[in-house]
Amino acid sequence: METEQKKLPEGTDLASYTNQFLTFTLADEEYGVDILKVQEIKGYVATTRIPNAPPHVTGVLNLRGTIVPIIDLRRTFNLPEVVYDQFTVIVVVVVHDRVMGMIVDSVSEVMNIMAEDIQPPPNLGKGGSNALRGLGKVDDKLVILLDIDAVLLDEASLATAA
Amino acid sequence: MSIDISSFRQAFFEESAEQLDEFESSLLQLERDPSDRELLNCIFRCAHSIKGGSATFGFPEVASFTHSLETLLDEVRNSRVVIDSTLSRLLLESLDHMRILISVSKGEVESAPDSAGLIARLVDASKTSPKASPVPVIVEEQSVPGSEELYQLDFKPGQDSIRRGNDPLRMLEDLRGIAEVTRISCDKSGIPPMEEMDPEACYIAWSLTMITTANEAELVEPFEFIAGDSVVNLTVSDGFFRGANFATPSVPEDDAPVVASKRKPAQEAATTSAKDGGTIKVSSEKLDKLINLVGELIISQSMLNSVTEELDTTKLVGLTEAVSHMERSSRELQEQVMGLRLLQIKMAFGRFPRLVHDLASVCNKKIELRLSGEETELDKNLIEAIGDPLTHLVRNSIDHGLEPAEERLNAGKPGVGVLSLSAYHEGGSITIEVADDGRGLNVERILAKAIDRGLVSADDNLTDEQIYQLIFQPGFSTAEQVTDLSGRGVGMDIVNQAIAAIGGSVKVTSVPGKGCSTRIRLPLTMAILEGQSMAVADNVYIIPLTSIIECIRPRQEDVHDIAQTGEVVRVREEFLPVLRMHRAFGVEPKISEPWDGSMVLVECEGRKIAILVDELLGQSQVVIKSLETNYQKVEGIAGATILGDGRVALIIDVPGLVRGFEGQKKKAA
Repeated sequence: METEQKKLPEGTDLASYTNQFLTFTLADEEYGVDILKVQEIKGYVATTRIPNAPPHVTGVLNLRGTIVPIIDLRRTFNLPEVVYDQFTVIVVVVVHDRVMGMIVDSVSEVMNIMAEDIQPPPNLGKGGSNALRGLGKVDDKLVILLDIDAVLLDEASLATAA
Repeated sequence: MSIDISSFRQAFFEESAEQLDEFESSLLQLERDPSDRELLNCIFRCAHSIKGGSATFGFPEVASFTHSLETLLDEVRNSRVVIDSTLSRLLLESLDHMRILISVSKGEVESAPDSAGLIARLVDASKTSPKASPVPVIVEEQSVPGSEELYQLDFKPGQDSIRRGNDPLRMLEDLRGIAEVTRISCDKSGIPPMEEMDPEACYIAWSLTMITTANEAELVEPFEFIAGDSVVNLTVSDGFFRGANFATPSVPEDDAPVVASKRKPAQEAATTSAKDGGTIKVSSEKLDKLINLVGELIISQSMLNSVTEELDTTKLVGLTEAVSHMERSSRELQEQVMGLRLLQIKMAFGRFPRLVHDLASVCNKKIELRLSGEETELDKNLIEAIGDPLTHLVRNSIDHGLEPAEERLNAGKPGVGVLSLSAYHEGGSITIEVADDGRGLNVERILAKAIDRGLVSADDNLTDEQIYQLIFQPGFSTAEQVTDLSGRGVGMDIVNQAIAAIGGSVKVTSVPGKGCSTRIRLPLTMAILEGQSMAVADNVYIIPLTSIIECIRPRQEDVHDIAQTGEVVRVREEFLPVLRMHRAFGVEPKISEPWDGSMVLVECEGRKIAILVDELLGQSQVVIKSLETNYQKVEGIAGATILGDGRVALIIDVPGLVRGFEGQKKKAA
């Protein structure tokens, strides 16, 4: 799967990708993740801190008996922190058989984005563009499509190093 | 239609392993009590099932070898061959051979050893008695004049037989291969009128008369796999009736041509062999799911509890009653489900009779093995984990502990040494004890060795008790010569590590000249633990009760900060290092001074440490959840659990926490 996604920038066949995305906001930008990765969405609840965890891992949560680590996406992307409010949402995703939660500002909707409306991520030099799957255009809006595996697994490996 | 036979084969391998173990234990028991016919029957049944299974699943070498073994056993059973030490050694050898053959069939071992020699010896042994009949080596029965008997067989297949793929005709054909059928009649009275008939059901029954030399077990073998509602009645029809016990000599019955023996031999064999520790095979995965589920129930239970505590309970008698009822039933359910994972410790002890038997003859010592508490139940994981440590201990006792017979007699002890393995409940844990009445540990030698290895210094004033525990140190061995059995100096160290890994502890006691005993203490299970909850900042942490010695509220005058050593607290006559939990976990405590909080004294790898927390909460049973499933291993944390209000609480791994603490202190120093 990863190798497939690496081919993306070279403008390979995009039609074979699923084109439904769950979109959410983070610091006024619209982001999207592949709907098939999403397990559920739940309101923010306080987490239990894990000793010596990296700062973006806010803690763990009880999700019907499973202990799930929760990651603050703002911290992951070095965005300014905000106080969690009633719109703050945890998007629970499954990456490589691991269940993880991401804290986002709010969720928007499920969108269909046609493959031809997805542009490969711009080349921004070496700065973190492997977390991007592409940029989606919906009407006049821009949706940043994340490669959630790359985002979270990078974080997981980061956590291991910490 | 193709059927995946490999899964059946797997079941066959598992079953034969069990059968072989049973074979072995019965055989060893039989050596002590040769008159016990039930043991002999048991051995026979094991061999017979393996023969049947191996033929069915396409392992002809196993089948033909087992057949010759079975033939010999049949002779023994019919008292035509007497069991003596030579014979039992031959049987043990055959048993080992069968194990090898089966592992060859499994593909674990490359080449099969030649069975021919052993088969010849088995055939020889069966022939030793004058009455013995010529024994065919390959699975092919031959009639032998003189021992022919007339049998009457009533066979009514169950209605479902054909649907289940059991063709009655094929069974009758099989029977024709081993018996001469003289008369056969078909009972068609069971066939219903055409309009009520189910074309796939079997309504017909047969009764047949046959002459054969084959025994009852062989005659019913073709019917072994038929559906449960079938009826197979086998009777000796020449005026003789064979009772339930195969070995009982036929008892003449007055003029009774046919005595219906109602039993279904194939099924009966199955029930009898299952009566000891009758096992149900359930996949561990399913079990784990069930255990998790019950964990959930316990959690919702405690949620309910905390809700009702806040309610005005006088007005809600019904609710409180319901909750207390649920509490009872969920506890019960939990116990039952936990019980599923528990196995009798017999499974771990099972290997020792043979091991001791073999080692005793290698060392030329006389040893009596006594087992007790074999029915004590323990988690399956633990049973598997203690096998090797126990073997080490048993080998050690035989090699170092128990003396040769002359030495024992000189010391005024009986010539036969006693090695005992026992298991029993003690508090909330299980104790397994390996004890011998040998020479005991040699304090001087252990101490000399320990000083020699630099483990202790000569001026450490150690009690005997402390010296005994030295043998658990890595690289320690006092054996003057390295033997086959032990003496590589890794034994006790490995025992200690293996037991610690499963949450247990080892202790050795010894009386010079009287013997030595090693006690292993194990938790009942690894899925639930008794813990003390405590608060630090906004978090709740849980420390396993097994690690806690006591909890104290420190007084200001007892807490000292010693330069270059760190904080210590005086508890009676001892000064213990203080570990501030909030520092270790990087959180802001609610207390500002140690004497505002509480301290939990824990013992870990022989050292005591005081852990400072904000506040002590209650004790409770908690269900252990893994952090690693979705996250990763965290130093100092053994896992997590879910509190009554649904929050997650972390369970402290005391040794890990202490290691981290000492590492930091070293860095700081």
